[in-house]
Amino acid sequence: MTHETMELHAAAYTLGALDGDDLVEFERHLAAGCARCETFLRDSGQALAAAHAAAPGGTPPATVRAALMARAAAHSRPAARVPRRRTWTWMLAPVAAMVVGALATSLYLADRYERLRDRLAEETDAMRRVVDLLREPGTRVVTLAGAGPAPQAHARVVWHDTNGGQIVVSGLPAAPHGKAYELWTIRGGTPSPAGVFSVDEAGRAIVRIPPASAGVDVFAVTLEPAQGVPAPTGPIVLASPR
Amino acid sequence: MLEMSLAGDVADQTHACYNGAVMPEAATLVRRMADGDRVAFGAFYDRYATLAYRMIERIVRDPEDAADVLQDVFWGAWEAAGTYDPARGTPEAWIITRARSRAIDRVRAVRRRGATFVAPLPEGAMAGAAGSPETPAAERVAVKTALGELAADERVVLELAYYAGLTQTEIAARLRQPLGTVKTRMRRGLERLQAMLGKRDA
Repeated sequence: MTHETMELHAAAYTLGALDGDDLVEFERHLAAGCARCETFLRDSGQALAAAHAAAPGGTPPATVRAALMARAAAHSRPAARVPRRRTWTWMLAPVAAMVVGALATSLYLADRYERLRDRLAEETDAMRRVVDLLREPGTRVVTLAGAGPAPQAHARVVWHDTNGGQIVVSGLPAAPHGKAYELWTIRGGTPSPAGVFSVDEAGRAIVRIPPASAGVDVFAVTLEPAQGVPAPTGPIVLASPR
Repeated sequence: MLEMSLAGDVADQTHACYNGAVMPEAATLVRRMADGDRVAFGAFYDRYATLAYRMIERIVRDPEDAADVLQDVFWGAWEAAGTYDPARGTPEAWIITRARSRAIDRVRAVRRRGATFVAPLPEGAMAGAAGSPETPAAERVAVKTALGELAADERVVLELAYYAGLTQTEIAARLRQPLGTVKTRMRRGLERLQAMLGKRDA
């Protein structure tokens, strides 16, 4: 396969028009790293935006800006809150105390809301990645059973040979302090490290697995030092059948 | 010719230059948005809303839908400001890409609801594809944008993909051309567009 084929793919990709096997082929090419194609994508995107800038058309209704600003004010992030100085007279002191109390409560609620929203966004992203993978014709699902210190744990790997995959873990106890779980893709008896992860308070996790160039016979998870290790040293907590 | 066709509209709408040279404040606005600066958000909106709106309007056609999508796009930009990577393009390209993909999502959603709905063709594409003389509307679009500087067969494939959201296979089927021809035209068209706009900024 010549690079010329990739150059044609790159053009269709910029335009969002690449489909089928060509798309798989080109994404694999990009994932392997190609400075020429990256430059072409960036410059083409820029050229299309600039070409479009001259297009005639209407102007957006003013209501959109107002709605956005109101929404941003209602969902303000911590950094956006600028404290304001005011001078209070003694008559206003009780009112001020109430306002401060209400403000503190709303800041607390806003902060909790922010964190909840961020977490939901992360979960939604993870689920979307799993669903996207399930749409690929070449995707298979591998079941992993709990082992050793975590017999009640179970997991499934949604795996595509060229795109990589996602592991969906349940029932795994939180790793002890200073430890984390490490994922391995095993081919011909040789494990390759595929990422370190932790689980939430319910013992669940969804983690991306990068594609393995050599292919994979077995997926396994071990308990390891938190920074991860190049080869497994700890007990196996989850493994797929051989 | 090119100078004339691009100068007027571009000058007052875009502050970003081609070839990655961004006037510092555009990228700075996005960074401030990431920090939760609503004033920066307002300034960012004022700078790019018309540009984004015209892209959306061109794809979804209905002004009410377009306003709705515009709000989605800018809200998305506010929330995703922290993920903007200047190495991958200017804020202008960033917001335009977001606008285009949201608009195409909207058109596809409409298409799913009514099975008979077909993505509207851009005016220029229809005229070019049929080989018929261009309508005045198409001519207006063609003269005002750099796309209009391209050969008709290149412009058509670019417009069908970029504005109508068709894939390469769909375009080949619609134009009754081999896939290879469609892809070659896309590549040539984009190369020519890059060369034109590069020259403009040089």
